[in-house]
Amino acid sequence: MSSTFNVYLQLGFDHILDIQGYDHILFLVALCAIYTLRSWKKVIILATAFTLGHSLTLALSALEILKFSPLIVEILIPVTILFTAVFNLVFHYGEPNTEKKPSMWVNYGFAALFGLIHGMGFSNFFRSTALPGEENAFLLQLFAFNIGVELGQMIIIAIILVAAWLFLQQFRIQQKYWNWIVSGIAAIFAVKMIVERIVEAAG
Amino acid sequence: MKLYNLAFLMLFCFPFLPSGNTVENADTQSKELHKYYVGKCLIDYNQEEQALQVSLFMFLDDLEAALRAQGADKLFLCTEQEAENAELYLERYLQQHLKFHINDTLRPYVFIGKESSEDFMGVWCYVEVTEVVDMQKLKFRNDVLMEIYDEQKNVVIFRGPDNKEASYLFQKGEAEATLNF
Repeated sequence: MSSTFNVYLQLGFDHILDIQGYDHILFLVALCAIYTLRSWKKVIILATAFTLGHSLTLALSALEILKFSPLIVEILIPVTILFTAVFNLVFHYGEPNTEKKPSMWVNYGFAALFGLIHGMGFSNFFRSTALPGEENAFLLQLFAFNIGVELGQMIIIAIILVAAWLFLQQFRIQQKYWNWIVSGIAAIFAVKMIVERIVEAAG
Repeated sequence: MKLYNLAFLMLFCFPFLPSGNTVENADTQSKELHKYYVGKCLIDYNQEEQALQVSLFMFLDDLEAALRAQGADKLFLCTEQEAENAELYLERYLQQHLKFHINDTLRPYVFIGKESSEDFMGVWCYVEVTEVVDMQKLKFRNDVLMEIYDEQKNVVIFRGPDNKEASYLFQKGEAEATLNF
């Protein structure tokens, strides 16, 4: 007999790791593009800021305290990716030798802010899987789902940082090129998604 | 520039490659962005009424695609133009994909009705298995939509007396479970 907790944990986990719905993965890629395995502490704080953001809106929206247009959110999500990627390219293009780097607090702020938006995206999915019942059952489903998302997030970030280590330390790619490519690819896919989603929303 | 740096920068071409990623499901004109394939089903064992009261949810466009694949097209389910025999096709579809065996006997059920979800994107179907007496073993299957969408997952929750709850995440090839009482 399987528990409700396990089922919803699995759903959250599968949802963020879903390659076909790669927007959340792509955001994390853009978020981590300027970091290496060595700066894992900063990455953890960033991920935590993002997590706090998305947990908040996921909960508020699931409980229907917060309402929004799913179409707008789906368009905003790739906007967060584009913004992050462009930010990386503008302020960190010469890494690791840039002078005018913004403070980490700016990064944490944006991570939390964008987390709010992604959380709304998660809630679209969550609400389509949640089953009516008493309040407690619903809260358990929500909690388990969020934990699943966190676990998936940790795995994605770990993979990104290991890839960074591989390319930077082993293949000796310069860090600034890593940033250009990773942020550049993220930006291009983000633009692609924005266009696709606007077209779909209009159609 | 070192050669390996240059090779790495070539990765920049990656997003411009023709992508097999934008696979449109040939039939859906879904208004949903970021489409996902999840259904859900609640099986409520009402001991007093000796019945299994089942609520099953599917996205409307997916259901229509499944029925179309069976040759039942232009049903306009849950709209004013709904075809007269639409519910018959729906019933038949459910019987093929939603099954209950009580004590190893396949049980028929009554189609109570359907209603669209609040946002009109989905439909709830209600069926009831009656005369549920002395149930020792319950085997249920819910593989709706899995025949057309490999990635379809169906959440199934069974709720019984004494707060008994069992949950499952069904997917293609694993869309059945058994409970013993």
